[in-house]
Amino acid sequence: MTPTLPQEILTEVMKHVGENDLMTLQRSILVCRHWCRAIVPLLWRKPFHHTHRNTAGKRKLIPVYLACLKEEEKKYLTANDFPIPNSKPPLFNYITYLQWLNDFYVLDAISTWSRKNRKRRLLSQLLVNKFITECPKLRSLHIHTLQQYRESDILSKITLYHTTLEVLHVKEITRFVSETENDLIVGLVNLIKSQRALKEVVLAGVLNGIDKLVLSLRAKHSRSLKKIKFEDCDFRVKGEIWDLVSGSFVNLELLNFYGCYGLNTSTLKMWTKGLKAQIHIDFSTVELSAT
Amino acid sequence: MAGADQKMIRLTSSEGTEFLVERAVVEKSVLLKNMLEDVGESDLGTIANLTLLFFFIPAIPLANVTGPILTKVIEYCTHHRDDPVVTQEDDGRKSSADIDDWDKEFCKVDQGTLFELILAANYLDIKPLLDLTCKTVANMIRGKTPEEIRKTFNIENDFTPEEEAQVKKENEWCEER
Repeated sequence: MTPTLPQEILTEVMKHVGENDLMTLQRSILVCRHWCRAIVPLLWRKPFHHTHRNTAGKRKLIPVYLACLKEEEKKYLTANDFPIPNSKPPLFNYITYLQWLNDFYVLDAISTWSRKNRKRRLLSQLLVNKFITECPKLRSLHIHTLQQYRESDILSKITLYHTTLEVLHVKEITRFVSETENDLIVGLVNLIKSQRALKEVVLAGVLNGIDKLVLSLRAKHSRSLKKIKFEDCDFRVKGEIWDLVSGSFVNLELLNFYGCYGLNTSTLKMWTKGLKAQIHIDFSTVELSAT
Repeated sequence: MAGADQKMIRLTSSEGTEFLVERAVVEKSVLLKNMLEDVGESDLGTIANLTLLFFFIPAIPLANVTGPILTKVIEYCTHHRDDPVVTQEDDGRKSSADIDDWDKEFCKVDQGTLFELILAANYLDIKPLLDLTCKTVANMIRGKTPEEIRKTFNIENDFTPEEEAQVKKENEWCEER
């Protein structure tokens, strides 16, 4: 007689099928209850990534997440003129399996599902908050519109709930100068420092405080970081701060300055000193000022 | 390389069959490697020549592994004894195409044996054998319909029709279009 494979082994088998082979994963969950329980968590790791270019997929995905909301959350949305369709309780709490989150993709999926609703951001913020507080396995976090969470203190929440992020992208950090700007940098520094080993970081739109962010990366992730990308960041910083960067990120494979300013040849030298030969540095859009 | 270093270990299968295996082969199993290290470092640490262990320690009983499966496991570990150790952090892209000929031949067994090999590899913590056997099963699943998968693995569909419909509906988002 063939023994049944325990769930953790079945999960292991399906990892070899590959998380991008959605067709096989989807067919496999229909085999029986045992397979379904083992494979659903794999299938729901990054649905926003998988459906980003699939309009029909986005339309079908959002209602399932809505069905996972708690009663009081549904009431809150309804009270704010965001009607929630009636549905059966879902078979799984699909929310908890998420490992890859991009807030822009969440908003985009909601917009595709309900074009007319003006309060799309309300639902998107609620879902993003829920993913942050209820997904213990979140590894890859992309916050593309940090400014919209100004009131909900999202950075502290991430810091509180997660220490094992591997990929962190934060955009629009201080694009609009405001009094909360400094708080955001402090919040982000705390978030970076609370992670155990970041592998990839993208920071975009930092008008002020890039030095603090870089130093926090250096303090905690100098060995683990493989990719660093800066977009639209202002590197005009007083003092000899960039000397500290020299030779710090020993395992870096990609370093990218996209549309950054305030870099000069001597600061770039500091960045590249002691890095591997095969490192890819893109300064194509860097305005090099004279030293 | 062999010679003085060649220590033998006794393993006993669930039915009590004894196998005499070189320590280097046994150590492909992380479970057994740790076990042997514990023994070596503690009470038996004073015995300089570990070959003597044969007379002092009882065989390691493997209550979860049958003789025929243990034979296969030993065959695998012997063939791969000189392979470099794979690191745990290897969770990246797992490809199923790269199974070499010897391994492919090794996995040509009936399904019951294949599943038992997976369980043994998992229990004994032999990562490359676990990867190989899981890959083999993954290749048997890929591209099949639910019904074909059930047939292949002799699985009964225990969903109620309502449940099956709900699973389908809640996971419709991943259909191609």
